[in-house]
Amino acid sequence: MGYTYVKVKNKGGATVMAKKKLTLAQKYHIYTRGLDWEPTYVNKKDIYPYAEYEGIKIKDWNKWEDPFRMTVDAYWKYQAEKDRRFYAILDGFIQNQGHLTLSDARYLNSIKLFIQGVTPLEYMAHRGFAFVARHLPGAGPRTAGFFQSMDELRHTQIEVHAGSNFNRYYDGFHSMTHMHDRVWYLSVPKSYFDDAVTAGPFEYITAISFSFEYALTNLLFVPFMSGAAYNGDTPTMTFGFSAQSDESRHMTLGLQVVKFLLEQHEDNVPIIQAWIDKWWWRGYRLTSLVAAMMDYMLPKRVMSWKESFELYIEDQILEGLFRDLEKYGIRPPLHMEHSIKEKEFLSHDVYWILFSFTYAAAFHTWIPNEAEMEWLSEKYPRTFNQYYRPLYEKAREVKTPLPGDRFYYLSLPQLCQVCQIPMGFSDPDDPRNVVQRHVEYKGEVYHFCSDGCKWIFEREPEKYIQSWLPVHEIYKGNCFAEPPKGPDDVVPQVLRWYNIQTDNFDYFVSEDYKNWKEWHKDMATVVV
Amino acid sequence: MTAVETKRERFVAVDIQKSEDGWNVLQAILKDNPGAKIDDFPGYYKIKHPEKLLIRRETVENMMGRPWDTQEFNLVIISYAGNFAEWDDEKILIQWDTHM
Repeated sequence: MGYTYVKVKNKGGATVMAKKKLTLAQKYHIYTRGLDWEPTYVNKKDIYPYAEYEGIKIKDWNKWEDPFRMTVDAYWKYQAEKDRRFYAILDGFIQNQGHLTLSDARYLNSIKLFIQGVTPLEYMAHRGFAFVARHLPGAGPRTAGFFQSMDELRHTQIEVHAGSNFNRYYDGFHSMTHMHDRVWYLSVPKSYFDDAVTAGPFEYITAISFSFEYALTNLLFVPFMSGAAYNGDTPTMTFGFSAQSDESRHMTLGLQVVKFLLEQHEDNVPIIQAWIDKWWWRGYRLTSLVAAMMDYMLPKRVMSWKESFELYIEDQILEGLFRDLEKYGIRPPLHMEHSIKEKEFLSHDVYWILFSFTYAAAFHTWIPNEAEMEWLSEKYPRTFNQYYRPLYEKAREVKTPLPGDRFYYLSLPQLCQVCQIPMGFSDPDDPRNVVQRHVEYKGEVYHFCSDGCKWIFEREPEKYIQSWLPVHEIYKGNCFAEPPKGPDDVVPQVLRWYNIQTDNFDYFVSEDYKNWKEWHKDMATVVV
Repeated sequence: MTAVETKRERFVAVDIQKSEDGWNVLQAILKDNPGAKIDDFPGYYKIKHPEKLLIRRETVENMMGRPWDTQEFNLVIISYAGNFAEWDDEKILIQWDTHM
């Protein structure tokens, strides 16, 4: 592929056929349209049974154009090159005992969260896009969905390979898929993606390609990965940037799909707007974990959550993207203003939740040291010293019977019915209060962390009353390795069911810290 | 009520890996896009322009001293803001649809 034949005159003036290289546009067109066909003996509706029930109307699938013009030959060539680069770097890192050159072993707790929480989502995205590649009636988006499905599988693989190198030496990397299906904080990412793949193909692609890929993945894969680079983790930086270079294509797919659907029929506009409203808030709540990782878990910091939110969301998405979508009748997501208000609170609230329940988590947390508290108060001059520093000063004084000589919250939290995060989000308009909303539905009371999550529930209550909430399931007796022998045995039996071994509690009482000190005993780089 | 701080800016941008090829592409972009600004972060450069960013094959080839296919841009780009308005054998153009 890549050539065509055209008529040319030879020296004698006779017309002959000559080989001519195809342009990128011609190649793409032949690949996406030339390999498609109209069915003759099967009804098209039987081939694409999910294409209509969401109410989306398409007049002409041929109006679809992929600006990347990716064809399969180019795809293999460039993806193979990306993989070669990644594995060369990973090999070099392993051969060079690269883990010893990290800024600090505390850093790896953010990567544990990534491997347990995000990597299984890559695999779910692989499945979701395989569905899109099968079920959208247009050849162009099917092709893009097919590439993305393979991309997501590649991301899963390179992330697992990067993480397996750390698994030899550190806690928290050993049971990602097992934990993803069971552990309380991992139900946040799991329920997010389960929500998306149980929607129809158009909602799925709006949720993941547009709201997540275009609007939100930058926060995860760009400033956070830059942080990985800054903390000496070249394999993570490389898989991050390698994955995000695919994301550029995915972002394009997301933008293209939304514009295409909006242009095809005016009836599509309110449907798409409602999906944008829903999936902005779902995705934004999910990335609150990234906020905590960036502001608290990176020993060396590149930028704060607030700064990256301003750059990647306020400038690029609100000032850029949504200005572009105005002409289609699309406005910024319903609860966007609340996300903006929350930017000075979000990372602090979420890290405090993770910190409080670390006895049941497969990562370690710690009280930020004085230099880190200074950084936080400088980056968050209106909130950190006022509302959060006092919490850690108190946490240092409070003793619990658990290892770590500091505060843990010794009970189970109320989870939000939609995002499944423990309900600990400050009200930006009244910061000493935690937001609590509830709805009564068919005689039961459901709780929410925000107006955004409540709004999502009220649109589709029958979907969200089915949520598998980890705390409820513990109380229902569904999360024990063996029946507890008494009240003190409840949490240990849950931890065994989670397969949490030495992965929990404060960093400064962990195996990770003990080993790190041992490996660096002749150096002055250990945080004490 | 807490007042919300915001200082928004409209631009197109491309985030490029800090690698040898990435550096050459960056230099080509600077040459073809007067007014482009660079933010330097660990691991990547962010190149911003208030209106548009043009990446020309010929300029990149001159920087690299070898043939360069515009699809090789896939190997250096990390992310972008804007819209791929054009992408053919000669050039890549990133801009928003709506100009203001």
